[in-house]
Amino acid sequence: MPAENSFEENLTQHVSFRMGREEFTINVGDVQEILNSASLSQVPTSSKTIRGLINLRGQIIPAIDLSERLQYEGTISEQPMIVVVRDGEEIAALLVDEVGDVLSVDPSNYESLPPTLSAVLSKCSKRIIRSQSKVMLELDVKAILDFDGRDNA
Amino acid sequence: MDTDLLKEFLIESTESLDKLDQLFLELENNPSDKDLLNSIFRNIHTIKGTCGFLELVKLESIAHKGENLLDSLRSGRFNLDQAISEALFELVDAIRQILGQLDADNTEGTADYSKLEEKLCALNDPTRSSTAADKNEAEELEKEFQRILAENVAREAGKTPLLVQENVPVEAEQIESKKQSNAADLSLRVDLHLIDSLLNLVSELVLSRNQILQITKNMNEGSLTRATQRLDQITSQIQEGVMKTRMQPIKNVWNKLPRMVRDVAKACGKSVVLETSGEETELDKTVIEAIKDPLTHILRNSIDHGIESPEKRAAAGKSGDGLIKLEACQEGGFVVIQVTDDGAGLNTGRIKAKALEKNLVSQVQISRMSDNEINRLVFAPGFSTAESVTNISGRGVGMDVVRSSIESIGGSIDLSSVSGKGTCLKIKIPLTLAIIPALLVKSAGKRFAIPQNTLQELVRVTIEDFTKSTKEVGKKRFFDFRGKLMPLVFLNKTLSIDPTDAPKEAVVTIAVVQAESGVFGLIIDEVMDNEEIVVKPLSKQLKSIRYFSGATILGDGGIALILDVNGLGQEIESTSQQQGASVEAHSEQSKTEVSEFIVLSAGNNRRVALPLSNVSRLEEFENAVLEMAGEQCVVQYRGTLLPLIDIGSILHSAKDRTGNLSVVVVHSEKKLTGLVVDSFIDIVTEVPGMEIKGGKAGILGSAVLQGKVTDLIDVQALFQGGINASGE
Repeated sequence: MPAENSFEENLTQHVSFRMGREEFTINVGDVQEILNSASLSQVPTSSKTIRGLINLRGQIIPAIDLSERLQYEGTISEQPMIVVVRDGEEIAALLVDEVGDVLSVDPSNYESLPPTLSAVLSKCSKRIIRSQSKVMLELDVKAILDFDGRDNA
Repeated sequence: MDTDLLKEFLIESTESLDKLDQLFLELENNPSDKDLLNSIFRNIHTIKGTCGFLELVKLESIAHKGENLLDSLRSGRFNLDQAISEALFELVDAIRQILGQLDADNTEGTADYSKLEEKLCALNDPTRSSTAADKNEAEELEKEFQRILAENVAREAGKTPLLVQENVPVEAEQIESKKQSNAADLSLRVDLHLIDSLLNLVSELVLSRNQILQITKNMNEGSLTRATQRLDQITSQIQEGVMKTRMQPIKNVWNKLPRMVRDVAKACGKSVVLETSGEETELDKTVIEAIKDPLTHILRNSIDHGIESPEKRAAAGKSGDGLIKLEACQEGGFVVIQVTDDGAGLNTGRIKAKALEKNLVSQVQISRMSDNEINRLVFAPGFSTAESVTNISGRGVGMDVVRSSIESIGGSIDLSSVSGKGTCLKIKIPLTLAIIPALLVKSAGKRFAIPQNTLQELVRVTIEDFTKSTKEVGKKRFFDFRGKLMPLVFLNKTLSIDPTDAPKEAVVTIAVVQAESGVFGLIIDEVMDNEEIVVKPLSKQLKSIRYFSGATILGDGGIALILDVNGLGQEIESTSQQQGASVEAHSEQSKTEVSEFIVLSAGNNRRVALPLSNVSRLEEFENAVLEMAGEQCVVQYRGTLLPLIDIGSILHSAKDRTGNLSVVVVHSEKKLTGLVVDSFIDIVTEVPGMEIKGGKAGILGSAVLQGKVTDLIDVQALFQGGINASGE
């Protein structure tokens, strides 16, 4: 929409990706890079949320199964795409099904979270954004990384 | 204002202030030490001097008043007293406040220091000092004259900040400061980020070197081998050197603590002495930053809640001054910091009550906990036993936050306490970016690293020998290792990577490791190689898994988890908490185990035996922990009192006991008793032959086991006898 271009300074950029049939976004500022694949090293006695560890150019980072983390129905494919995110000094890899485009969103298209959201999704999301006639959650990286990876089963 | 110059000034002045805190504390104990006074004077003088350059009017003004006061002190016009001491500390705080403001927004702030200045001026008056009461009039006049002269000179000089103010004394100052600046020339200030990136590059270099070493290991090219060896050497040296650049002695953190301890103790109305040792122990800079707050909190807690008031201490026969010892030392790849106080110790009863009140544990759980475990509940989130929550140690966020701060740098904290005697907190911090020698092993197809400093031996036995030498007691497996029973941990089982604990190969490999809880044998599948590995911390989500202390990248780019032997060692402890369960399990199997006996030696090399089904655990106690409860000898065991029966004395051939006691803990219908023996001999499955019934109380009779005469212990009788003896 042409109107959006005139507000370029206010536009925020978001990386969009798909989990199952739904699309989610993360603010570009929180994303370090995208990987097509990576070799995972499993951690015994860790919960299913952590699929393993990845060697990212000498740094060992956790690979987090995002559908497990958000208690989202369905599972991430066996060949996931990887969104490497950062919260301050902490870096982690989020496993998703497919990474999409980078979207430019005007703050007027922000919406607050609906009360019907599950507890986990509520905690791990910042807001709802509208873009290209789609409605998507913008996820909160800091909240996503805040969990205990032990297997308590 | 020149910002670079300001930055320099801030850094140097902050250092000066820290030094001043220390010096003032020393001055309190040595009020007329000339060298101290001169040193203090110089410090303030330097601060004041630069203020002029930077047009820091407020700072210059109060520094000036302080300088005057100090000049009087060092010239002996009067002596230091309580009021002056307080004022000097106030001065340091005021300067600190202004420096903080400058750092934040380049202004001196809006606070008004005129009261402080008035105080400093008022104190700079010889007539108010008690010692001046004895001086005669002439001297008093002389002093007044000097003072007015000094003030006039100062007032004049105040208008022209670039001029040197006091001629004679300052020349000496100049020479002194020249000497100091020469020392300063030998060191550099370097941006921390630069060092960080150097350090990262070095660890990448180490990984590359490992890779190259691996590849060239199997080649036989002479010149390549030599070049690789040279590369190896140089890399190691660079690695050491760069790590050293970030290491700082822990005293950089500790130098602020005495002042804090003094202030807090005063506020609490207590008297506390802080003793430090090991202040030269070096830590990585990031670690030093991270432990500042936890240490401060621990000390505050100790003074506020641990150390008793002088009256209580006197009543308990302790010295009036509470003592807090702060010790640091390096142990393997860790720095260990211990804070020990001689206060009242932790009030386990109160901790128990609070934990139940706050629903942190259930009644059932807490009844199974030992005193130590209850004490550790203070680390649980939301816990605080302070009756009156004071400003000093805060509300309920205390020890929990301390623990997570320490764990966030990969360290650990533990405490122990003796009621009435004191508390000891032990913090262990790994040297970050440690490059440690480790043994690479394989288990269930996965690679792990065992730090060399925990590894005592590697043992390989055939399956037959292994089965022969393994005994099961309670639910635990032990390996007969040179006459001692060594607990076993099956790595595959513990990590749930392979459910059975039957060894797969024809050979069983045991890594004998030393953990905090003692020595145990770790069963792994295969030993690979010795390697120097770069320790990388685990992400925060995985830090709480107690079996791993980090991870490392191997020569081929793969990842190996580093095993935490202390965490694995806890497996041995936890299985025994299922005592209740194992007792039931055993009595179910009692039909098949009725002829399994544990054979021990007691009382002058006589042999005794009892059915294995009655045995809970084998323990060792130090002689010192034995106590008397009425007529019965007991020992504190897992939160209860365990009555002890000396088998030797039953046989009327008791030996003199020295050193550690070997005790077989037996159970009968949920009651426990400890049988003191000399040593464990074996576990046998035999049909006892040639029984001779009867004998002394507590003995069923004699039989032949393993071809030797053995007395069979009547466990039931012992329990009944025991009860009668103590009059219940």
